[in-house]
Amino acid sequence: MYTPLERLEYDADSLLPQQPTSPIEWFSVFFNLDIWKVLCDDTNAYYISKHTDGSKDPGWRPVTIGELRIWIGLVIYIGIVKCPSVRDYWAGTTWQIPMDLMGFNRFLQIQKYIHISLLSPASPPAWYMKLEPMATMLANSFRSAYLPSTNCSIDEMMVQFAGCSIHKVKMPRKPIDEGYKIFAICDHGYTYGFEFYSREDGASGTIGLPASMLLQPPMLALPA
Amino acid sequence: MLPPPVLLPPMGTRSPPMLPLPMLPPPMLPPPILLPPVLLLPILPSMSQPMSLPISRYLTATSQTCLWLAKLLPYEKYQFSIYFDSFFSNTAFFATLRELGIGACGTARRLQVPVELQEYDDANGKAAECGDLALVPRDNVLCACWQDNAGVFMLTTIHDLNDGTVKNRKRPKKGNHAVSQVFGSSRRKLLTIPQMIDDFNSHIGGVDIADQLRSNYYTQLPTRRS
Repeated sequence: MYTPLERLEYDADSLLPQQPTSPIEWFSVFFNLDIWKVLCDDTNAYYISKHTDGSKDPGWRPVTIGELRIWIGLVIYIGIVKCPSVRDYWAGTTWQIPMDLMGFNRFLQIQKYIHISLLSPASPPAWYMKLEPMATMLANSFRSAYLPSTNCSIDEMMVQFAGCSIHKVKMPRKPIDEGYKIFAICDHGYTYGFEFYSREDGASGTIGLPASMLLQPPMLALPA
Repeated sequence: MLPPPVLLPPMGTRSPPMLPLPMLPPPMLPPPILLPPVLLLPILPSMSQPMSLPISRYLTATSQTCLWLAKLLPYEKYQFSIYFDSFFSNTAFFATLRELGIGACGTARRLQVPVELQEYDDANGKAAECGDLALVPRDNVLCACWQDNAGVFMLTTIHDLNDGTVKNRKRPKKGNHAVSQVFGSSRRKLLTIPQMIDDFNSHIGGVDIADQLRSNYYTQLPTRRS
């Protein structure tokens, strides 16, 4: 016979030692120093790997974490203040004050060499390996900052992408009709965990495994 | 002595006579209607084995991914229930989650509910009254078919058979005959609906809210296509 599971309802809670007060502090909770170090190291390593023959990109100097922080800040700013072309942001009008922090050429240079993943991936490489160290680090900081409430939901998120890839999903008659599919577990707007989806994964032999044989996700250390 | 003259306002600006406001009856909830009697269909003998036997369930690739996500939660320390839409729900997956102590609730597609419920929906689909509820437990998962404007299949492990709640429901835009019988001519009506439907409606949108919040920060650089 059927009996329902007993539920004790409780609200979501923060696991942070202290609440951040400014937006940049909130951003640093999730985008922590380790992520900045990975970005900085891998970008410089990628530049070196592209110039093993002794050629040089004029004006290149190794990026620092400070420069990358400015660069990410400008990318976010460009997403909020809309202009038809990237060059227009450096056209010299007064409301483009943030652009004084970095020249246009340097911005394009970093955009050319920005890299998240190391060059020698662990074998066998997952198809999303180019995002990998950072995706896991971000997911870990999501989990370590927040205790979800009792009622969560799992659904798919679409990342719009119109290029060619076998991992892309096409679903006509949906708001985002093609792109990458990400499964996410969310608590009323807070993304707690996510996992990339590809139809290739089902073909790799993991389909139809008994439920007891599945991989265990990494343990999370909770404060007592 | 003449009575003091009554000053009348000039014609055209006179306000219409004030009528006493009609006494509105105080708002009242109708007494909660008990849900229609639970239709408990016989369980197949092969499925009525005691739960102690090792049951090997086979999960699809999508269910495996969702199980991995669900295990991210600190479910050994706290209680969670997860809501799914019909893309993810199946009984094997929900039963696996239940053994971990994670509750699950979600709409289901037709092929994921027991065949008795499908037959019930086929036989009763047109003639069913709005609000009819048929239930079949299977593998410790409660499978339900609830008649809204059309049949809705639900799977749940956290709701009891007779849980109900009163909600102010909107009349469906394209209602069938059964709908007009319930709603009459009114646009909204207080109706008793199963608790699982109400919980599902309130909690399913978590990922969509995250999508909306994410869409405020667009990080693609402007490019021009040639």
